[in-house]
Amino acid sequence: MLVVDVQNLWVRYGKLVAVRGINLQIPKGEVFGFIGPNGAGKSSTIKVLATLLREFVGRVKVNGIDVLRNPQLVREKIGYVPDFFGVYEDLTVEEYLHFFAAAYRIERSQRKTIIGDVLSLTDLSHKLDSPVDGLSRGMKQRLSLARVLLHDPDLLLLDEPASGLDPRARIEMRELLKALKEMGKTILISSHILHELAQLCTRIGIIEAGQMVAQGSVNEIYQQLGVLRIVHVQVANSLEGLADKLRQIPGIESAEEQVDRLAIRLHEDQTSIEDLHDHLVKFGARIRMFQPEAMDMETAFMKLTEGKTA
Amino acid sequence: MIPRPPRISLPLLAKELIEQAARKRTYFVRVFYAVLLQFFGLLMFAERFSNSSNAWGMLGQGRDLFTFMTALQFAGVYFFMPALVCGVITSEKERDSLMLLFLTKLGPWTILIEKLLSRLIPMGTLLLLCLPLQALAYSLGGVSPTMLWGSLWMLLVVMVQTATLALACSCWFRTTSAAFISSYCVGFLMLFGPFAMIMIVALLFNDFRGGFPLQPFFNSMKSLGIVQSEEQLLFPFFGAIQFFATATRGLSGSLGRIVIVSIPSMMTCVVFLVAARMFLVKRAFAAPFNPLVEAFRGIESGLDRVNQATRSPTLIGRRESTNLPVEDPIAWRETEKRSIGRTRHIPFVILLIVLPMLGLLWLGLIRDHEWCFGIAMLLTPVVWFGGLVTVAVRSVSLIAGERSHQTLDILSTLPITGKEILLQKFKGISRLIYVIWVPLALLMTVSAIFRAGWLPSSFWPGGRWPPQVIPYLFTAALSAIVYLPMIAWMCVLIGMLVRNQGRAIITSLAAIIGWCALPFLVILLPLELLSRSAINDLPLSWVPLLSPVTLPVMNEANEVLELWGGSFRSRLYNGVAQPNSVEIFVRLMFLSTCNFVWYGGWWFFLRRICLENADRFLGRMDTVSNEHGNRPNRGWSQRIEERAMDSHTTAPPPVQTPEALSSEGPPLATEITTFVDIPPT
Repeated sequence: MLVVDVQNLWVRYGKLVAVRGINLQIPKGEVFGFIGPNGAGKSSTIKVLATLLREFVGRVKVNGIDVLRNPQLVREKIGYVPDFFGVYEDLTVEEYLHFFAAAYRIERSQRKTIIGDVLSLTDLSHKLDSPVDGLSRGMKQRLSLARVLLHDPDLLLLDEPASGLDPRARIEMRELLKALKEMGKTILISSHILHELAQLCTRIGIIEAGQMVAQGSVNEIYQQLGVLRIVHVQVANSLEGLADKLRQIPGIESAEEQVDRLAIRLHEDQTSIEDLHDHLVKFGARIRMFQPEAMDMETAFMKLTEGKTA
Repeated sequence: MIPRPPRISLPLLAKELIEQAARKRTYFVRVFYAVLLQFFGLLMFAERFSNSSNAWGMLGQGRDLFTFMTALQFAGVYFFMPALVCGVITSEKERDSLMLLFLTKLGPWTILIEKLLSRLIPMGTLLLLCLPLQALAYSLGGVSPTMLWGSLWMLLVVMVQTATLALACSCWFRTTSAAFISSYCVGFLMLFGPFAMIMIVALLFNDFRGGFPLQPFFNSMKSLGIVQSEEQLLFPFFGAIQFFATATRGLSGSLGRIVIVSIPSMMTCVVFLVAARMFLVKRAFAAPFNPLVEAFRGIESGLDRVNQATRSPTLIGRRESTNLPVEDPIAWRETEKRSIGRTRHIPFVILLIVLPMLGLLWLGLIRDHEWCFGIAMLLTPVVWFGGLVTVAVRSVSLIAGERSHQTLDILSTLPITGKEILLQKFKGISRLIYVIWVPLALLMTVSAIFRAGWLPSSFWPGGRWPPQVIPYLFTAALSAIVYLPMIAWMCVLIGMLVRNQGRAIITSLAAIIGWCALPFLVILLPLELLSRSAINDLPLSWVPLLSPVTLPVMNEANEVLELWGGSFRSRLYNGVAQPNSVEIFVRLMFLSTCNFVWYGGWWFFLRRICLENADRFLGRMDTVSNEHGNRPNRGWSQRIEERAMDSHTTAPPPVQTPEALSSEGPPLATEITTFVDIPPT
């Protein structure tokens, strides 16, 4: 079942067309990463799904409910975390969560338990009586997540949840999102931090100038773009002509002899990393180091986009 | 090599002026102000010209025109300068950009002075628009060069005085709305505080020798040449009064004397500027602190201690209860977390307002009834002014505040209708209005008691008819009941329509002043100038009722019957109509009822507009209309949709289901461009 179904979405602010005919389908339980430069149309798309934009064209459904026809029902199905943290400076963490629990019409008898659960999930139980304004930025973002989990929504819309966080807070946020993913939540998350999305998302969409330029799983995108995998190899014995032999293997683009290693670039669809390892052993190499470089999402992103904004 | 003179760089001022220059509103306000000013100036000129038999008759007529224009400019500065300046620092605090300014090479003084200049220059340009009319007035005669230069000097002083006051408030407070309210309150105290203090001291010591409070003190000041008239002593910081008292009494005032009387105002400028400098850094990142709420917390913890000591949880009225929201969370926050606080705090707030008023009335009563009545009459506009400003700012901040605190989006995604959000938020305003009603009711009651017979008929000057109490109370009570919510809903509407909180506050203030003043300026004044007799009779004599301020003011001044026109007035003066007759009662009640039906209609109209369009004004999807499948703003969206659909007929976009994606992979940029590159309409 599709939790998000966006067909031919157009969003316009005055003369500026922010989103140009985006199509997007997210099935239940999927974590969809939305990547794009500033002004590409990510937030506009998320705002349409969050029922915050009135003026758009296209069919947008959440859990099969048309956001234009029944926004009120959609609001009960979603949890939206904006790219900024609006502060109710006069509330404590407990009051803040009770405020939203009451707004979501959660049964009074269940509120305390639910709030305890979400606070424990977001590791904020010890901050129950702290004023919201006094929390660190990372804690505020976790509190935002706690807020949107109160009513157990079908879809989480997270607009740049890691922006402005320090490395520790970012890692905490990533772990929290992983936990939510394991709980089976459907999540649409936008971010600039590309490698984090690569680790977290089941599928990603790259948007530029209001257009979706690619979408699919991370590996699918790499394969289609022809992004090469680089493997760094150190051998203990010196083998004459090893680099030349490697270059003759189909799928090996290049084998560059560096000071202390070989840098081998290969097309994974033709020769897998395991095959490369077998070939090296077959050529008599005593392998000291064999290190495939992590797939580079930034390369993919740069390759797909030109830095244009809507 | 000749050394280059140091370059004067004012980046903050340049940035502020460029921003203002980029706004259409700047030009609209200037043109509107210029047109209005020139219109009235020329109207007055035309009236004077038509009354003169020949051109020689115009000589010396410039004085009235000059006085009118100068008074208008002073009023403009006093009303709008604080509103323009109060947000200069608070807006930076609200946007978290003040820290960035501190990190630059700009020092605190530079920041303050450049911010101050960025508001003084636009105001100065508005005042310059009056120069052609002042030149005209000068050419007509009756205006001395001292008056001309003196007015420019005093206007400059008043501008700087009000601007520095608002700047200091902006540096002290965290939010624009708090800075706005405090600017006007402190300004009010500065202008009228000395007068009130002198009166209180005179009442306490019963010192009214010579008919004027503290007459011996005034005499000694006059003998020293420091003051010329009583007003100057009573209002030392009120530049406009100082100017008119000095410069327009004959042609004898010298520029030096005007400069001397402006010294107290200049001293306040220095004090406010130094205060602003002290607060700028010290209060830049001040934690939220609401003294009233903290005071209530102190009182409550005291009550708790008493209850604990006596082992009785409710011995002195404090019942332990949960502080958490149960049903209406937004209403809970508006009522529990704001200045007035919880229901049990309200009696404290009312006492805080009412006790000083009772003290003043008691002081008046010690002297005589007329004094007590006079104090009640003086306090009434003060309470109205304070109440209206507070209600207006709180109402305008209802949504604009959520927007500036970036909480509106979160609120808008809640499964609560826009109408419900507004109604819940308005509960805090309703509570504020109830609180304001109490001092107003006290003043009305005191005033009604005196009108009922504590004052002799001879008290009402000029042979004017003594008042009827029931119509007075009816009108006064309905003024409070209708006007406060009406203004509140108007400000809520403005707060939703204008996106920036500071701008919304200024717009609401301008709207209130405009509604009160425009009927007089646009209809009555031209009629008065062109044909004095036309407005003396019905129906034109009712035109002043187009301004909501007319009836409450005339009711307090016991002049409501004037609105029935000259012919009725002559009947009254000739004794044909008796002041206490049923006819007068009916006329008063009828007029009042008509007025409040009209403004009650406005109240319900504004409320309805706000509630019915709440979702749209909040910027979220419409809850009610879309349940029937209606789509907002079909204009441009329909056109794009049609064009997109036309395009799809030739090259339909592949709908990318996950299955399709896994089998075929996502389309690349070049592929997608072929079907989405439709030129926007």
